[in-house]
Amino acid sequence: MPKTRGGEPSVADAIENARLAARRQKASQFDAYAVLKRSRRVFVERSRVSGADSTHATGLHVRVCVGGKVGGAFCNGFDPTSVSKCVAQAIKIASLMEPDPRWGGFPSCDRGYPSVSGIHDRSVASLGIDVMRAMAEEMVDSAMSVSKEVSVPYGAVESIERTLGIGNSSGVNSMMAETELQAIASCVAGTGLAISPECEERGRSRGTGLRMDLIGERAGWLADKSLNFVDAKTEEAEVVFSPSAVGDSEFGLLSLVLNKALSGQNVLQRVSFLADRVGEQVCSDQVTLRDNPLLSGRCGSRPFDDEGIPSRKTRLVDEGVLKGFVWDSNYGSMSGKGSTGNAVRDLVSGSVNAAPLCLQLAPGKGSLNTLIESVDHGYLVWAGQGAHTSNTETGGFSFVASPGLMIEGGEVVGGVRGVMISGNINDLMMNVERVGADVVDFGGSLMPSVLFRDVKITTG
Amino acid sequence: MSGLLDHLLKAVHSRATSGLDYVELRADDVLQTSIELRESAIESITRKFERGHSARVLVSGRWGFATSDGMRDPKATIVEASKAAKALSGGIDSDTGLCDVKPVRKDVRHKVRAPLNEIELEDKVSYLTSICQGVVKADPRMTTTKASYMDITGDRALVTSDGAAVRTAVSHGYLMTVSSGKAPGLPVSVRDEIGTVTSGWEYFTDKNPKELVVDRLVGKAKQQMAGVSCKRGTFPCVVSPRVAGMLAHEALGHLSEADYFSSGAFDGLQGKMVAPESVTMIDSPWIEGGFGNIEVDDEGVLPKPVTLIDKGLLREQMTNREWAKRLGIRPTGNARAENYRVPPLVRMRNTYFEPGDLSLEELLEGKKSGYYCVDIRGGQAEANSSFQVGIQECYEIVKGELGQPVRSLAISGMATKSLSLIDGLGKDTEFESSYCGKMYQSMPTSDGGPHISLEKGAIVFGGSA
Repeated sequence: MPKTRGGEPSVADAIENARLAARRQKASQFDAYAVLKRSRRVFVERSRVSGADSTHATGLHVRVCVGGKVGGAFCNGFDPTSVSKCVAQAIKIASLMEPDPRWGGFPSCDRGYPSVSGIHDRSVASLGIDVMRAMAEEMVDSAMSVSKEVSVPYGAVESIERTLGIGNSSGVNSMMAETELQAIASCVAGTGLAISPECEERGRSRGTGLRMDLIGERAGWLADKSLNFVDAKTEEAEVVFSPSAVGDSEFGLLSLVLNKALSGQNVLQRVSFLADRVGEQVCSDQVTLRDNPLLSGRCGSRPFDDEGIPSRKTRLVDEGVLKGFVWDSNYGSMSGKGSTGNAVRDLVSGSVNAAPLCLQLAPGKGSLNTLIESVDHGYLVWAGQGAHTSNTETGGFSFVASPGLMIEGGEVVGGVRGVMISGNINDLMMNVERVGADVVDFGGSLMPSVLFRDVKITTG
Repeated sequence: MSGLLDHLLKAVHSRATSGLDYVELRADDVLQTSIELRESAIESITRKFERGHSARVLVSGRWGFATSDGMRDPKATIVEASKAAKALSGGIDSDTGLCDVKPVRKDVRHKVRAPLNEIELEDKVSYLTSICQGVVKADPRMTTTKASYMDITGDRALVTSDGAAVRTAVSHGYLMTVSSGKAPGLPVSVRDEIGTVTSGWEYFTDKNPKELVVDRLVGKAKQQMAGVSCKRGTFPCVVSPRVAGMLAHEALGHLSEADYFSSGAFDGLQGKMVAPESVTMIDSPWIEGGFGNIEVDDEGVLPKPVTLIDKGLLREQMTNREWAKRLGIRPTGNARAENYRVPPLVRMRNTYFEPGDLSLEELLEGKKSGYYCVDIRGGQAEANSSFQVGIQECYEIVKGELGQPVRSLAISGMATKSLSLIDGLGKDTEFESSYCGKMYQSMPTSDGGPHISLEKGAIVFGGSA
């Protein structure tokens, strides 16, 4: 495990301090989640490296149960005094809660953790700022080599090492360390009213194997291609979504909507459009979805969830037929389905929810280019604005393709502006024509490009 | 001033800062309370103690930034930040520097009647429960209501090597309520957002009593349930102050942030007409009840109002000290950081269109057909001025009068084009509170303006959302 700075309490110490404080303060049950994150980042502004960050962040979330009432609190100190104050606050909050008759205690773990390889790489943890600067410069140079019109207003290369520990009074005692190297290049081409949209390309990896040149080149290519504006029209057309438009955690439509709709918690609370539809054909038969956090070296892979329950592979959709949902221990117990090892802790509100850890759309055949080549007239959506406003309950969505490009005769012919894509995710998923094989790792999902038919396009 | 500030002042005057061109230390010692409640059931209550600090240094034109949770000696954090900056210094030319400002020493405290940290959790829960239960009581077709409440109280401190020393007593409260319901065959979902950075609990109980929040939610839901679908395409429209504010902020304000300006759609248009003469747009550090109000920015600069568009002319950019120096313009005090963990960025505060002189009826009169967009549910924009906004309350305009309500929808457009197609401004002004995201930092802001009338071609209307 990564060491803390000299003399400072570790993640394991934080959990032990919580255990002792809970016992001293007579909380019959406790649960503690501690994380130490260290990161270094080199950032780019106006096409050159302009600064570097070094972050050391700690956080502890404690939950206690007193007389069947559960309360929680956070602190960012691991020392006994800070932790004791945090436990006292959790006990105070517990006193305000109603006893939950269904409460079965914090989850226990009666089986061992699966072996998930390749999630920590020492070479990422020890990357120096000078090396990351060289990486960032390579990314920028590659982007700008695409065309003299291209610039890089923003970019970054970041190395992250995270140590996570979970312990509770039901015997859970889990510890893991993970690393991630992330890179982002955000390019534009042109100036003023003729400027392209921001064209971002991101990469993430557990190890140091990210191709900075390819990230820069792809972002530069997109910006350059988007600059040649062509007119779109209001119509229904075939649309290719890039892996980013499908799976990016911030703007990927399918990841944003499906992560919520496949949560057992949202199903129980009747705010998922997939509730009551197990066994139904909810997508085209091209779509098979799994939650699979056990894959080697993937950024969403991990041996246990945020309650310390072993991770596992979960069938969600088989050739378009809905098979089930993901569950944490609490909602899994309420539903009678049990936990699927999918607890995710909200580190702002302290709530523990169910969500996919690594949602995987099974790859089909062919690259993004193959999908583009199969379209006579249509659009390529690289990313979208507004996918986060999609309605998980109704399935309604509407977003602007940005960057969006037009495809004619199997080739990208130029950028389109202000093209709105809207509809209902139910219809969109039934209209999946083809899934690509070009899977990209977005951390919480593994997604390839997808070709949809009959997509509603609206323009000004 | 407080112990937190003294702690930073000692460090900024220590040897750790020698050889550095600029040092900025920020620290938080705050308590955050979050409550999530659905109907009468508390989903979670959490309290979060956060104590930590950061150092931002400038060395030979390179920035270094380091953070440390807890209050470990800030001198060590300065050393860490300077190491990061120095690792970048070889072989790169840099034009990065800071404009001179008069150092501010200030203790910022707002007149708070009922401090948020002194209100019992039971009282907060009771207020939220009344809202959640009130919605279902008011309209049984509403099936579920979730209230997400958050407040932050405590101290923030800032010191800089050029003499700024600012302590701020934080009083930040926010509530988002989302209600869902079902008319036959038609699920609907509406939300309400309120927030303050200058008041206490009285902001919720007095300015936003539970009955008022319930009325707003139920009113929006009812019109959606009775609504017709929106046509796809572009139509003449009138937008409410809330929607106008979203356009001012998301689609136009970001383009006038100095760090975005040169890579955005306004580049090259400074001093040129970008809107009809009737249009003036301001970013102000202080408005009555503004969610974006600040008295000092996060670089220790006294903030000033900025006229972004002056009678149609693209006038001024919002700056921090770095961009003011680079562009040779005044520092406007727009540097803001979400907390000590992140460096300040150029951010808006309260951004709005100045009102005109027309009534809503007069604005509608000019439209034979079209839409009247009243309330929003989130939006996004980017540097080429493309925007997308979810609309949760909308009506048809038929022969200059309001027609049937319209179901939830989304609008989009290119803001630079929309701006040029404004054909009337109302005489009213309202503001909304929301959080603005930029570079993974979330900041409270207010946006607003009057009712605004736009010609066909300004806004694209599309399907349901």
